[in-house]
Amino acid sequence: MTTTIEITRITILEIIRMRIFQFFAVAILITPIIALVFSNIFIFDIGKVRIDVFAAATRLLITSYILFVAVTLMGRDIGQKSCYQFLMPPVSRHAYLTGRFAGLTLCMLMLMVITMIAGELLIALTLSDTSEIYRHGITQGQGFTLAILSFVQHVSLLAMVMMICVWATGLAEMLVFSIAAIFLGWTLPPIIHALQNQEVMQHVPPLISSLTNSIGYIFPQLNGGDIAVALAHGVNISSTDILLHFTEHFSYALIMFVLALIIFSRRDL
Amino acid sequence: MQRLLWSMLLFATITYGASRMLISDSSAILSTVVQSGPLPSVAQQILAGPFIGMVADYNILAVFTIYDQITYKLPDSEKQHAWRQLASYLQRTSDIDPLFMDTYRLSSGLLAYSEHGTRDAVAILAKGAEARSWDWELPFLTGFIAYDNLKDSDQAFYFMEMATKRPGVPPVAIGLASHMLTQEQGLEASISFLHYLLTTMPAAYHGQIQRRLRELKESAL
Repeated sequence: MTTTIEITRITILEIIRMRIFQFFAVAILITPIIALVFSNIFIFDIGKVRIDVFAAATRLLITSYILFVAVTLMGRDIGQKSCYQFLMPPVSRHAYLTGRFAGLTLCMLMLMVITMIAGELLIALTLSDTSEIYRHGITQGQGFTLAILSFVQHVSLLAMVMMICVWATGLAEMLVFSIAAIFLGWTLPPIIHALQNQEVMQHVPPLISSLTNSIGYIFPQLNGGDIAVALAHGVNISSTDILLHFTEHFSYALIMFVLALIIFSRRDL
Repeated sequence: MQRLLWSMLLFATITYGASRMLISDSSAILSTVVQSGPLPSVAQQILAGPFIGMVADYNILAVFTIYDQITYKLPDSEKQHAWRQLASYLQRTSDIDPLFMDTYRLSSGLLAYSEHGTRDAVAILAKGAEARSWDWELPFLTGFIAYDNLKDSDQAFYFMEMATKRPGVPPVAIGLASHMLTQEQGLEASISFLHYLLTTMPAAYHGQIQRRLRELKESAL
């Protein structure tokens, strides 16, 4: 346990000293300004457009954090064998991987806290400078909800990427497979949704339909768009849905992380 | 060697700047928005992934561009095609983000008063009236346009009835709804409703509504 905590601490120190991590933190703080500038082109639903831009930009930045900070860190550790610096008694492979995952998650939590602050600032500004008719139902606190729900999704994304990293042989493979998995996670839900359409169901063979559905279960539901769209329109998300969302993502993250531990303890380094 | 590099840099900067300025002056790029039209809704959803809200915003930007082209740039022969494209952008936006109010404001404020767009506008607004189940404004607008432009009393009554059952519906709306359903008082009600619509739309978009108001007032005389 103490070794895990020590590796977590080292990982956090390593990441917060990276210039790219500091860039992501500053970029998230700047996203409200981008949202304000972009919303100037619009004349009606200004509040909704601002939340759209903010949600899209922060999501892109945090996904980039997973790809360019987490994957490059694991690529260096496993690809260039620098994990041997840690993997000496008393540090077990399990303790090492758990420490790395916890460190990466806590740094992502820091980015989420910044997202929360930036989101609340943007909402406060929108409430003060936009008339009621152009900001349907947007209220203070939605930046908090958006950041928390997005964080939960990114925890499962990070666990999925860790699983890919311990299985792949080098940085190039890790990046390619992680980008492919994220892309599939983004595009599969609308395909599955379209397949459930009555008209489409008549033309698609049942085997293809059930195969696509099963593949859909392999990837986490990265339905951040739905959440962001609902919040941008001031539609509250029910507490049951939030609870199910948390359970779904924590269970998925647990499955992926346990698989990563099993694969990592058996692989040749 | 250094001097040569600086001269090459200067030359490349001038040619780059000049070509960029010439391209932005050309209307060829802008008119591709009108010519090609939007991707089908499902394709937009698949490509957008979690950025669906942003794609809906871009569709609305395309609507602004097309409206600008119809007003200032396109010859009369191409206007009908441009209105059809404008309608399909609004249709796609209502498919991918059915709660987005801009879609319905532009449908009721622009498309409904265009020459061939009224039926499309009513179809888009009807979708919004179903999706925004707490909002009285959309079924009210749908009913009004169905009554005033399509002369479809059955459809108008269906949506007016829907509007009056929604929370927060103001007495003036209920009054107007009942006036509208009375054939004899239709003209007066239409004029007062158009005045109401003017207060909810920015000045740049008043043209079509003012034209309709003039027509109604002239026929009343």
